[in-house]
Amino acid sequence: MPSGFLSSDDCRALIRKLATFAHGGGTVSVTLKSAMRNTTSWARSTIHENLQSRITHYQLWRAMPELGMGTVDGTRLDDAGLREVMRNAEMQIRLSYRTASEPTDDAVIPPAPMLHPVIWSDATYAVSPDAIVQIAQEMVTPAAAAGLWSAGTFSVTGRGESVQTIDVDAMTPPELHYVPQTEVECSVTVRDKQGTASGWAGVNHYALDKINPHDIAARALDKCRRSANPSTIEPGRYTVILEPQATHDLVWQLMTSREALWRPPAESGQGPFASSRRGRSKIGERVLDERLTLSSDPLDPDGGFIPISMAWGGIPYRAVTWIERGYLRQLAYDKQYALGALNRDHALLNPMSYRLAAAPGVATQTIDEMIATTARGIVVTRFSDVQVVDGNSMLCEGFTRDGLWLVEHGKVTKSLRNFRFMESPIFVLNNVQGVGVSQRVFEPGYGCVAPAIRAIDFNFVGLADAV
Amino acid sequence: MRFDRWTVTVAVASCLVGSSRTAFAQTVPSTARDSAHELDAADPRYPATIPYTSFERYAVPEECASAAIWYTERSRYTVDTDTLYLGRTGRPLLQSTIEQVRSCLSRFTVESVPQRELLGLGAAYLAANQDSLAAAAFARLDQLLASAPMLDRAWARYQMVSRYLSAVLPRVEAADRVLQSLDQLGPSAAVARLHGHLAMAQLAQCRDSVTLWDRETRAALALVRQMPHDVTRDYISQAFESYVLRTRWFARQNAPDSAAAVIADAKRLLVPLQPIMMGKVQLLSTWIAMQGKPAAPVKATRWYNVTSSADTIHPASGRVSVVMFGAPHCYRCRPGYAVLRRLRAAYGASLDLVMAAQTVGYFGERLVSPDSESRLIAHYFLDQLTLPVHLAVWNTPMGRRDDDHVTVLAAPNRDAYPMPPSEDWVAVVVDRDGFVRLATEVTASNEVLLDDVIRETIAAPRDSSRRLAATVSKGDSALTMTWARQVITAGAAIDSILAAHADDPALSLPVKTTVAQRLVYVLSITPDFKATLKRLGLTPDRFTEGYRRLHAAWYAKRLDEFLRQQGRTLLEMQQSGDVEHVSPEDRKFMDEHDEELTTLGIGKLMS
Repeated sequence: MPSGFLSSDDCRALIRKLATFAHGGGTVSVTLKSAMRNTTSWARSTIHENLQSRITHYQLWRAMPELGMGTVDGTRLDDAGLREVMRNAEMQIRLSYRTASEPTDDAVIPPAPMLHPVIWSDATYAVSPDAIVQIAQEMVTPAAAAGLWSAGTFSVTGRGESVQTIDVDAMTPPELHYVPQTEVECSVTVRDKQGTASGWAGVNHYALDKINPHDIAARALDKCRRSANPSTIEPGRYTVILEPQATHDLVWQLMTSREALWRPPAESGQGPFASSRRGRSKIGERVLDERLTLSSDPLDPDGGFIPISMAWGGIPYRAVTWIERGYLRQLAYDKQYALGALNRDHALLNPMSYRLAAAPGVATQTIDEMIATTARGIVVTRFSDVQVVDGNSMLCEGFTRDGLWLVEHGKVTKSLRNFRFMESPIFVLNNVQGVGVSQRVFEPGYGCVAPAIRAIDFNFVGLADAV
Repeated sequence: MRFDRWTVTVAVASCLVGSSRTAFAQTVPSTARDSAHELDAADPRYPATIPYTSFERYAVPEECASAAIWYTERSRYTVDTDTLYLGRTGRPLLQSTIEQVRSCLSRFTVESVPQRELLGLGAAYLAANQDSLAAAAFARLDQLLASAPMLDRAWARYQMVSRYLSAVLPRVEAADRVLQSLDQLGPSAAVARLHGHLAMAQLAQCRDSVTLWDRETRAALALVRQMPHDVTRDYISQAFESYVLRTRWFARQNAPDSAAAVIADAKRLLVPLQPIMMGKVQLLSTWIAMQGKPAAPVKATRWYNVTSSADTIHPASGRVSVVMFGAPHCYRCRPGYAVLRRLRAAYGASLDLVMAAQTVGYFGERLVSPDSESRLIAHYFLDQLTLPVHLAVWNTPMGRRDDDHVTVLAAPNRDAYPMPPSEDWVAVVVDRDGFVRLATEVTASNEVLLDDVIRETIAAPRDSSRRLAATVSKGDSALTMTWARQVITAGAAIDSILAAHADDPALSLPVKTTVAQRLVYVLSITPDFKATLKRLGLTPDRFTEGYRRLHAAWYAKRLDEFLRQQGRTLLEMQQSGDVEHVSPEDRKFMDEHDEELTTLGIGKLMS
């Protein structure tokens, strides 16, 4: 059982104690998140920070019969703090409108079963802070030996998230849903001392044995070396070979936008999946290239994630295929929408963790194969500062970063100065010429899996001076 | 000097803050209800004093007043969460609170505060009932702006009007004096003048002061029509609000045709300037669409809080009714519920209050069956909120689209009372002759208006000649009744045919429904009935549509029976597709028996 952050027994005791401060019957629901994180960070090839941090945060959902519900966040674990949180929640209820309630003879639809993904690694959590420093030092050394500057972070986090609802009158101890997770974050940027070349590599995963820090450091170093002395070419529309991280940087906008994978706005005419038919979404219509499938699954071996939503009161996530072979199959919705618009009891939430992959049966290509079959194009390591400028088309703007190369006649010929781009992930994923094997990318706190993609007509609108 | 435009909205909220009778008030006499509306210090539920934190931390004078008002509202709201309504005569601050404000203000003087604080200082003096000091603050501001550009002076005067009207107890006479001085600045100050007249018109509407309301909306519309189009485009919200208030004034005066003319004028002027205004204009039209037309009977699967089956025909002939559309999940409706209680207290048995609700498939956070939901709705309105209403709950039949989204198959009350979407807090006043007198929101700011209209409607005698005149002028009201009777007769005949086959195992519900629809169609194209329809001035399509609505009730009833027989829930039926889709077996049956059943139906109907 983990130490350093709250165990399931700790959570159970804490929630029970919180419930004892309640007055007036009803229920107390608590989502509780506790974490311990060991981080080592470095810059200019020098480790400057070894940090151990502990965080506990909980959200109380207090419901009182025929009165309403109050929601309060808290971080204090002492009695006075817990009492204050409960008092604030009950005050909120008294200041709110009364809600209607009465027992019905309708059967209660049981909540969706909780999934149990493999996202905990004892060996990873056992890595000591000293060992983390050692790994970080080993990642710094090659760049320093090459006369380059390395900057990055390496961290190991252990966390437990739990949710429980207690009947205040009965004080029955129902099942506590408790999910522990470990996470390793590794990110390295290598730059030359003149500030003209930069390379980056990184990934996060639940277990240390799933990543290779030395390989990540080597890739960043290699990219830095190869991106020296960049050439300038005219902005315009180019065929691009997006490395998995670059694909992710675009798809992430789709996953996190409140207008994209969300059904209520789509049916009110907002976002890329709003249909031209009034009051409808594009569910059932083709929205991406037919070779692509976008899904979220807590049990995904590479993209697994904690299967309960802390932001939505502990509602469990379930496996969902958003886009199947290019056709939109599902959009997320909350419980209120589910009840009113679908007459269903369960929400379908977007965990934002995802897997974008070639559909089964679609042949994949390696990045080298994509390069070899490209007459003229650009290889992109990743994007930065990506922002949505138009939610309806998901048009984004941002910059290329940390490695950009020109491909001519099937070969990488030279490194390029960075570009500013103006492009929509929807357009890109409809202009696909080749798809790679999906792999875990860097997005701390989430499990994201994306492939390399070759797409045509990517819109670079200007040169960027930043390296 | 710089002014923030947000203060435009201050006057809108003024009627929520309170009102007092002045020379400008409506001539409708005050009644004993006023005392019932006064919820302030006389109410023992409210504290005599409010436990404030120190006012010392407030650095500018306006905060002294706004904090006091905020604390007061919160204190009242804690006691009575259903309503923040403040009554016809307003709810002044407690004397102890006024003393707090004065103490807070003692740190400032008219002469010492900077120019930017003078408006706030004046507003604070008004909250402290120190009107002469407020006038002095505003006068100093006017004086300091004497050499400022005319537009700045105009805007400052509008701000003064706004502060006078948004005070806890609005000072209408003082505001009117400033507004007159604002008007003297001429056409180039049109924008500030428009804002001022709008603020005054909004207050007049809240007080149902028809004379003031008329005067101010005329003035506001005159300014809108005089303004260059570029300026109107910049202030199109205010221009549209002028039309809204004018339309509502005509509706208040029971002149729907004139109201429609105002809306047409708004459409002609504003839509070319900003096409998106079309939607707002259409929305405005729906408010007066019902007015002056016969009110449809409220349909219900089940009535609650009625004395007998005869008590389920509402609006009842010969009685004044208020029909309100509510839903437990409608948060915006809730202040209106307190209004309903006060109306019941004021008018007693001389007014029927009818609440029309409909099931939506869930209650709170749970999916429930229609019957359970109906009971829960009744429990909420009648037991928890103790609303003094006849409650009609319509069990809404639901279908499902191909993308799984549910659809409402029949909503007769929504069809019969067309209103802006999601406007659940609409109340429709129906007169003794069964005509819609007024459709309006039930909010605190409309209560005085609603109260006055109801009182006038109750006082008005029944007028059968009016009904006849309406029939003659509209041309189809009487015919509509005849038509309805014909449809009901035909519907009963069709139902009897179906009832004769009720035990036939080969006739499933979808078959019965389809056959019924076909009978209606065949009936409507037979020569005899076509002649009848022609005599009634109706088309077969209109007849079919009328029957479809009547048939929806039949369908819902039969569906309910069918579900009980099957021991299944509507949700299960929808999920399995039994509700919407005809099975291949049913389809085959219909094809084989279509002619026979149709002939049978026609024969019985014609006989």
